[in-house]
Amino acid sequence: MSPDALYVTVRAACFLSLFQACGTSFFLAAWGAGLPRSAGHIARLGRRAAAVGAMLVLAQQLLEAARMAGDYAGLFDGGLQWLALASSGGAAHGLQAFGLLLVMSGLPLPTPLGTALARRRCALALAGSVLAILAFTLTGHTSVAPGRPVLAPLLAVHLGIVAFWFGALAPLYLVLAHESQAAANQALRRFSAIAVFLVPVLPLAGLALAWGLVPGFAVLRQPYGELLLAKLVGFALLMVLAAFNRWRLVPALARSGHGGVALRRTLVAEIALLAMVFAVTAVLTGYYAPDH
Amino acid sequence: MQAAALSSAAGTDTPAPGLSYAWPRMFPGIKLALLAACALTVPLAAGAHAHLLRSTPAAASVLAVAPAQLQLDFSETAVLTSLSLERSGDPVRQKLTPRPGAPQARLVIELPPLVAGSYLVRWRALSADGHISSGSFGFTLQAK
Ligand SMILES: [Cu+2]
Repeated sequence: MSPDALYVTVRAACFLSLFQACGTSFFLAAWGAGLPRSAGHIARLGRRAAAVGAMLVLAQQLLEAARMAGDYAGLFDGGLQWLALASSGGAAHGLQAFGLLLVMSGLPLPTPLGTALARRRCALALAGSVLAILAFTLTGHTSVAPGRPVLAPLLAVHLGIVAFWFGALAPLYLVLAHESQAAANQALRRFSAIAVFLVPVLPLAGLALAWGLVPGFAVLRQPYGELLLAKLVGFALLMVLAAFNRWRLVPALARSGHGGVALRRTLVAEIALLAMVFAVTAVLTGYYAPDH
Repeated sequence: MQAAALSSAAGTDTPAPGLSYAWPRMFPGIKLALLAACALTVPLAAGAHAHLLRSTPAAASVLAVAPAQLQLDFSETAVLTSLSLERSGDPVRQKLTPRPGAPQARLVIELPPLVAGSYLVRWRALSADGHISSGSFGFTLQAK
């Protein structure tokens, strides 16, 4: 496996764990108090995701030097490691690792949630999540584009919604597995009440970013453009699943108490689809640039 | 607040409404995080993703005289992090990488004395956007 291929693999896995950690923090901050039986499980998931994410951020940073050299000997090249650390990617990885450490130290939540200590811990995890997401704006194409004052906030919004959405799927699964019918219904209803407004912003912000970064439609015939289209197709499929959830399974569960298993299955399918979109994004942002 | 209304309507097994209690407490944490992020968001460098515009010897060129130097012209300033030269038929790839220096748009590298043959140049460079770009091109040196 070439350093480039390994880097992109690690990057995709890093997206998964980082967005899981951040989204879990958002989920607990918003709805943790109404989930007496699952909050502990959800917090453990977030903590583990943050720990894995921090390790993958570190691995990505170390691999930068191997990519610079074109072979793994670069890992042991002090000059290249220093160059990688001093680059904008090094700053982003540093802030991401710091944010994930905050999430790790915030998420051993004392249950029941509602005590002052639990609130402080939750705030710490939330602050770490915000930092880890904002770190993405320190590097990459938005960081050097002329439209940075607009593009960087757009990227942060885009990624924040990704974290909120993706990061809520596994917690919702745990809610369905552990909570009472009433608590599960309530959590699902509250999540979809917010998701229905936020998720449509995701492709809008994404398209605005593409508009700011991509020189023209000719790019659609390059790998960069093809990967962008693949992301859109993945998103469209996800919307079909999400709509099925919202208008079929969630109401059925609320009405009759049936369909919990089907709902859990579609949650797993959504997670798998989003993981594929993350893999495409890792290739897109790790390898390619739009050619002029 | 809407969240409070929702949870009180929902039944008795919810001890505290989620959103309404949590968010106000989060604000100091969020403010701190935003401030720290703003401090770190000072412009790092100008420029973008570096593409190789042209080289001397040019890609696919056929030369009668051995070049003494290799010149690479990038679309943006970049740090050359790896450069190698491979003569087809030779098992060993020659590394030419200089110590990484300041970012430059034009890089000139001294070449060792070359014998006739077809050569492949591979390069890798770090751009201001943090991305590593890479590429390769070939040229042929004719026998005298
Ligand atoms: Cu780039």
